[in-house]
Amino acid sequence: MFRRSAAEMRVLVLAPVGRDSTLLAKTVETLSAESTIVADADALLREVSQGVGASIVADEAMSPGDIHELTSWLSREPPWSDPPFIILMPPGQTMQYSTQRVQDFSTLGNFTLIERPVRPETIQSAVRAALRGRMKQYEIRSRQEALLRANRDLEQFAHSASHDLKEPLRNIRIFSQLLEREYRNALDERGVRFLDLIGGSALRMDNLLTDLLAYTQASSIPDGLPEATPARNALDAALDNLAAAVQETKAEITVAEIPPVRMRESHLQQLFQNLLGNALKYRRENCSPRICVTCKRSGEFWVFSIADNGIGIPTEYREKIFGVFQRIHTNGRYAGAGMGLAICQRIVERYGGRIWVESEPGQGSTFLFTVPA
Amino acid sequence: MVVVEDNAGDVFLIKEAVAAAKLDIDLYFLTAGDEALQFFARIEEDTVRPPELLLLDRNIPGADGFQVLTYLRMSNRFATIRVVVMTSSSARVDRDRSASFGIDFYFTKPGTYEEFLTLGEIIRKLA
Repeated sequence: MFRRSAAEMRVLVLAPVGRDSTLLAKTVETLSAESTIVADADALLREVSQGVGASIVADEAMSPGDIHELTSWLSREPPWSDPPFIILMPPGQTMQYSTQRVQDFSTLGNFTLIERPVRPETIQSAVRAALRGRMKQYEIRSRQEALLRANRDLEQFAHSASHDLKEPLRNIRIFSQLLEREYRNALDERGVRFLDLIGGSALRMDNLLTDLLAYTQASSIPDGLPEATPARNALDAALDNLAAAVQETKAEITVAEIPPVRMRESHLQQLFQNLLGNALKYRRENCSPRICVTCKRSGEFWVFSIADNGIGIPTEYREKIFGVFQRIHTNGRYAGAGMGLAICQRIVERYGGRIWVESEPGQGSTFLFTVPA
Repeated sequence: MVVVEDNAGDVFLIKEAVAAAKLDIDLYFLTAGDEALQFFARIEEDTVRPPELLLLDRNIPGADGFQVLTYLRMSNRFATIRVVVMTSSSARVDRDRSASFGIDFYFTKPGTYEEFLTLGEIIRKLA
């Protein structure tokens, strides 16, 4: 641990001319910072990836090609990392030369030019400032790691909790079924009604827990955007799961051409499943659902739309429906836990998109969401 | 057959499943992982005869199902015991992990009485 943090705060020194490197290293060591002298740009590139606090680099040691290599290493660094570079410029350079070099080095991002001859105090202050900044970056890293860990723990907790809570429910359902079947005759109408209520409540709780689980899984943070996968696969999987409802309602579903998207397939499938499931569920009486899935490009995003000819949503509920456990109908008419759209919103927002609804009550609703292209 | 199961409802359903399949086997019930480990330790010392079948709930108090399986796989004395792992989780990871112990059947506890009774046929095939 100590060794690692020592490497992370060390100062790499690249000054190929004469005794410069040794002098610079000595200057750095008066700050009680560790320094490592590197012979050339290749060595610098090897060393930075082993851990670096700051680098002092002589201008003449870095060709545009070397800077390019270093830049491509930087681009693979995690987002919190922005290693500082102190560039020592030759004395008496022309304006044209320094303008050119500022441009060359600009891809490194965090760099400072200092013109030689330079006093030890100047170097020390520049190194001190650079190391302080680097230290803050490491603090951000550890906070980020702690946050990720906490998130994973919470997800794990919700996962076990919803499984463990389902366990007793299974028995409540089985034994109320058995009671109803074997002892129905021993009960009067009130007794049978009580049993129905017990079984119905257990079933609803089971659904709630399933949704709760899906909700916590929807929040898992993707490490960067995944590679594009065909959205069609996710849609087909969702339709497979809804096959019974599609058949029962005699729904007619048309799907336009849809592109590959940069989303985890399970997340996209959940989105389609919840939105199509709603379109099937909130249908008008005596009217088979007609659902249309389309997609169009808008800047950095694809906009998917799922339009139905169902009961529609009154204006005042168009925000509310995306809330957790929000339902606008009573249990009898449309079953559900009120989690479906909350899950959708959570998934879409994880990918930097948004979800909304347009609706004409009595005519139908169109749910739209954006995903990164 | 040894059954390791702490849930009274499931113990009842297992008995029903065995009775419904008209199986003539003795049932011996344990309710915790530690109890199961002690039981198997006695088999290893040759003071108890190994059962032909083990019905093991994955999620039991004390040592969990996987710890019991790990113990079982450490001694030849248990090699002939056929194992059914029961769980309420249909999660892929659990299934895969159970499979890695070379068990004979993985039973996901179902949500209806009839489906639970199918456990009787599974036991019959293994007995």
